[in-house]
Amino acid sequence: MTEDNRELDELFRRYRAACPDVEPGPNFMPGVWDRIERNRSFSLVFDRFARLLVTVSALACLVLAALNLVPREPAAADTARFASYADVLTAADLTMEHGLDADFARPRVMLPPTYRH
Amino acid sequence: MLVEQQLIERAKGGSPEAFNQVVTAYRKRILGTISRLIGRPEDVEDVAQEVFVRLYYSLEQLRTAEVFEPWLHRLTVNASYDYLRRSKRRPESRMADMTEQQVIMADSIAGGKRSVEDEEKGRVRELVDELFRHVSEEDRILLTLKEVEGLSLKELEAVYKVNENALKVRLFRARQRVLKAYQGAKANGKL
Repeated sequence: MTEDNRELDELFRRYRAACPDVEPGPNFMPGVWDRIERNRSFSLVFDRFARLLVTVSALACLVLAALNLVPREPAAADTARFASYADVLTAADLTMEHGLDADFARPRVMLPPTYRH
Repeated sequence: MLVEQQLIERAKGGSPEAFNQVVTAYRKRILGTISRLIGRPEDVEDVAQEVFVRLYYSLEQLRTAEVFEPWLHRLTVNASYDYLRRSKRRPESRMADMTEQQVIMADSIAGGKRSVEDEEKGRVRELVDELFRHVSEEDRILLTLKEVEGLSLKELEAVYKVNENALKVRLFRARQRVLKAYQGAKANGKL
């Protein structure tokens, strides 16, 4: 076992020597700087886009806040949709006063079939 | 350290000249390490450039110049991992997939007749590559850094940011697997 371990160490040493040295090409450094510049320009574009997005969002917030502060007259359709229970009752009374018969206004009780004679 | 700590501090401060000098000092070593980690000579320079680009953008995070080398090794290991992950997804042309005619052409392109010494070196490389196939990619890289690149346990601890005992256990297991494969190859007369 120890012998095999020693042989393995020797094999690794020979492997280290057998791997050829890699020489950098003439374009190595220009290539590195080219990549750095490309990354930098991408970051700049992204940075500008992010700033623009923040500005537009802030403006939109201001516009919405201003719209909320300005009071506006309720439209006719809104009155019908958001009327209170009291408003509806008043409107119903007015309807009855203007000639509708009593049966129309009386609540109808629906009995289950077994209670019918 | 291949360079003065002051030079690293200057590069960290944003000096392009200092950064150039740091790259020039370390590029050969990094190219060698990458070539042993990824095993594809045609892509070594590309990965090495990626390492130095990452170095450029992360230099300001470096606490002190003393930890520069483990830092650079860490970037090298990470870039090599990323390359290996990417290349797994990419279809690769292997010698086994080539026709006989293509193999002859590839051989002639690679430089014709090789000397006896080159033959021996090639045989050693093939044998170790074969032994490394018995461990995972992560363990192969760890073993290469320890056994081939000669990094100490302290340096590996700084590269991997795990404690020494965990590294020792992992290295021991990986080495045992490689040793077993070596004994198998020896028993089969492949050595």
